[in-house]
Amino acid sequence: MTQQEIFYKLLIANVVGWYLDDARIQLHRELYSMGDDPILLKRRFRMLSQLANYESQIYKKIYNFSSNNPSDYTDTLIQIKDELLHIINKNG
Amino acid sequence: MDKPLVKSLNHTYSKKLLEYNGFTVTQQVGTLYKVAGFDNYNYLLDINAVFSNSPRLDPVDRTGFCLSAIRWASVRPWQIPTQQIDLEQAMHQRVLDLCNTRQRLNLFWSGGIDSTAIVTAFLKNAPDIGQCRIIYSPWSTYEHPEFFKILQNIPKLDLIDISGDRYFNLDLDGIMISGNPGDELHASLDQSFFDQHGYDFLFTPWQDFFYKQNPDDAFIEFCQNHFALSGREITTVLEARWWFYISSKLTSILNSNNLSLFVSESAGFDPSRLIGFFDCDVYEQFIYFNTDKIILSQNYAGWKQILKDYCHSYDKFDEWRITKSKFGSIQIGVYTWKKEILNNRRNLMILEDGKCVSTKNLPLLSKKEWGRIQHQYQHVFRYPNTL
Repeated sequence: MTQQEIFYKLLIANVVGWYLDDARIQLHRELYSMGDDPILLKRRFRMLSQLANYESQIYKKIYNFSSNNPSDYTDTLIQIKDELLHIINKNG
Repeated sequence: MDKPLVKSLNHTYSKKLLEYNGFTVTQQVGTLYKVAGFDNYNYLLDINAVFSNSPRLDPVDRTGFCLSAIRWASVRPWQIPTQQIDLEQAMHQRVLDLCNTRQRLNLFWSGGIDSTAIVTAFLKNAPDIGQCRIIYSPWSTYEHPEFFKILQNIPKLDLIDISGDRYFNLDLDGIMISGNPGDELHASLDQSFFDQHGYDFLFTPWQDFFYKQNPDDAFIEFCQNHFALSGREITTVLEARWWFYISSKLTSILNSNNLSLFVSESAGFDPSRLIGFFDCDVYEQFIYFNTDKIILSQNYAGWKQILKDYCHSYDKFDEWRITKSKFGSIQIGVYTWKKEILNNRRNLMILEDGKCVSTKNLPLLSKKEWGRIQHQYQHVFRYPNTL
C-alpha cells in the first residue's frame, strides 16, 4: 500500500464518517420527536439498524480498496452520500 | 443462449466502463455519454437533450438504426402497426395474452394512472381474477384510497403490502407486471416540459424547436431519417417526442429500477419474468393511430385522459377522472436502492440471464478491479470498427 493510497483511504474514511454522523444524528432527533407514534418509531429504529449495517460494510470496502488514481476515491464520495440518503429516505 | 448481453446498465459507472474498455468519451449529456465512432447513437442523445434537461437511462433504438457501444439484450423490434384497434380491444387482448401464460400475475399497483388502468383491465377482462396478486405499499393507498377500498372488497384477489422489511425478501412466483412503459407510449410528457412550453407548443413543427435547440443541419437530417422509420408522418413536437420515447427509450426504462429489485435478492431470478404491461404490440397498435389522444385538454391533467376514462368506466370516480394528473412513483425506486445497498448487491450491469456484474468493493471501482473480470465481459461491448 503506497503512501498516496493510505492518504486517500484516510481522507475518504474521514468524510464518510461525517456523512454517517450526520445521518445518525438526524435519525436520533426524529426518534425523540416521533416517539409517540409507534409505526414511525419502529421505522426510525429500523433505519438506525440499517445505517449501522451500512457503516460496517462501507468501512471494510474502503480499507480493502486499492487504487493509485485519486479520482477513484473522490468520485465515490458522491455515490456514498447518495447511498446514505437512500438508507434514511422516509419514503422507504 | 449465446453469451448473455446487457439488460440494464448502471449509469453511475458507465463512463468508467467505457474508458476502461478503450472507448473515447467525447461528451457528457446528462448522465449519458457520447462515444467516438457512434455518430447515429450520439444524435439520439442529442434528441434526448432536446426533450430533457437531464437525460438519463441509455436509449436503446428498437429500429436498429442507432447502435451503441453497449450490446443490449434483444429488444422487441419496432414493427410498423397496420391494424387499427381501440383501447378496450387493446387492453382486453393484453390481459388475455398474460392470463394465457397460466402463471400467477403479480400486478404492481402504485395508485397512479397507468397501474390503476392495468388493474382495471384485469378486473374487467381476466377470466379468473384469482390468478392475480396486487403488490402495493402504503403510498399506493395514499395516492388512490378509493380504489384501494374497491380492491379490498374483491373476493379471491390477493393484496400484498411490500413495505417494511418485506421487499428485502420478496420471493413471488409467477410473472411481475409493472406499469412500464406507460409513460413512454404516451410521449413521456412530464409536467416540467409541459409547464415550460405550454399546450399549443406541442402542436408546432418539430423542426423549428429542434433547430432552435441544436442548429445543426446534419442533426436535423438525422432526425428526418430516423423519424421516417416510424412509417407515419411525424409533424409536431408531440409526435416527435412520442416517436423518440417509443422507439428509443422504453427498453432501458423497462429494465432500470424494477429489474434490480428482483435480481438483487438472488442469482436465480429470470429477467424474462419481469414484464411491462404496455410493452406489447397490441397497445402499440392502438396508440400508433391515436397519438391525437395523448393529451386531450390544455390542462396537464388531460395527459393520459384516455386511461383515466378507461378506469372511470369501471370505478365511476368522477373527481379522479377529472383532476388526477401524473405523479412520479418513486416507491419501487427507493425500495430497489435500499435493497441493493443493504444486501450488498450493487452492480455495474445486469445481464439478460439475471447475472449481476460487479466487483467486490463497489461502490468503489478502479481500473485494476475491472481488469480482473474484464475478460469475461468483452462480448458486451461493440467497437466502432464492427459497425
